[in-house]
Amino acid sequence: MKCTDVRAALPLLIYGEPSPEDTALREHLASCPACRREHEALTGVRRLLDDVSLPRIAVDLPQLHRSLAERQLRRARRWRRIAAAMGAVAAMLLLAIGLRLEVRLEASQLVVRWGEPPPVGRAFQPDVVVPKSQAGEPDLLDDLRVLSDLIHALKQDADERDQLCAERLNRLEKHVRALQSQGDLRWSATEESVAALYLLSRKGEKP
Amino acid sequence: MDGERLLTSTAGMEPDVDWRNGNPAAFEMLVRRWQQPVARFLFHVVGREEPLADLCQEVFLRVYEHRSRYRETGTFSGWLYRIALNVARDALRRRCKEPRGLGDVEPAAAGPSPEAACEQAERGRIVAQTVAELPEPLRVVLVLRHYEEMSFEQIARMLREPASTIKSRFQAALQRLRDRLRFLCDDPTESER
Repeated sequence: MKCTDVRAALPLLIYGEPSPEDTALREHLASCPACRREHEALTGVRRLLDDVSLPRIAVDLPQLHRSLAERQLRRARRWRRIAAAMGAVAAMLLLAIGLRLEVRLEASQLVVRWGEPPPVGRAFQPDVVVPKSQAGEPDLLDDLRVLSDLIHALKQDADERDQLCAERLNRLEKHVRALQSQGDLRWSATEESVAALYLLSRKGEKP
Repeated sequence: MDGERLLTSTAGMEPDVDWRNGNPAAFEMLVRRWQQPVARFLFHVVGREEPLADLCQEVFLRVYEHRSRYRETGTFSGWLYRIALNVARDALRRRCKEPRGLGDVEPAAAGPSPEAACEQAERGRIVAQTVAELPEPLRVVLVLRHYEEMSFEQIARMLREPASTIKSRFQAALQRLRDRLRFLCDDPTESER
């Protein structure tokens, strides 16, 4: 055997690893001082490895049980969260399927539609047409101001008419009262006349 | 050291099957039986003493959590060390830097004299530092073969690599140690031992 082969095999020989070349190795060592020194050096390394002092470790069993319990609790909590998230996702999916939800991103708008789709071939026409100009635009404000002035003028006119009517009614009421008093006077005069005539007629029958 | 290693030898230490059914007493027995080998393995692979207790705890937490994945067709030690190796790799990845050697190491056995004990402790510190500086693939194989006394076939099964690759790594690891610890091997006191 060559010295290089022997030196490569020495670690296994020192640790008692059986090899078919053991006999040849030992014969070579007996005859080769350099390889024998290498064998002694490696044996010395093996002895040195045993010089390492080892720390004494004792696992804290109560702490170990506590850690196990905490981990099981954490795992259960994680599973609960995952189950809740999955349930929420499933519910949303069911809702989307049930409502036939459709979300579409078009050129400049996000379209969310649910229910039956519109008939094919008929473009969607809104029932209520919203004018382009909205509150806050100048022409509309002017219109509103004119309208407000008009309403105020109409109110003033109605008030004046009301006042005239009230005065007229007052006057008519006074006139009616005057007529009523004149009628009363005439009635009483008529009653007196009738009474006088009645007395005269009775006096004429008695003779 | 030898005595301690014999006490914590992993050979033929298959745990009681009840631990897989969640039996707390059986699991505690498993932890007591395996805590020192796991700590020793982590100590050599991670190269630090400070987080060892936490790392050990993490190993046994994973053992308990993944107990249903253990198949009795393989050896328990192989499965356990694979978990420990994953924990060690996670720890090394978190630190994102090379492991460093030992700090304050509690001596396992006192020497015959304070000088000898001090010398042995210093020698052990240097050896541990040198082992910690090996590349991880070489370090893992060396630790499993030397300290955990696993056969190359067991290591190959555990790491899911060919036995020839494991042997090559072991040879390379020992050669590197021999080169780096030459000054200790050539120490005249070594020849007297």
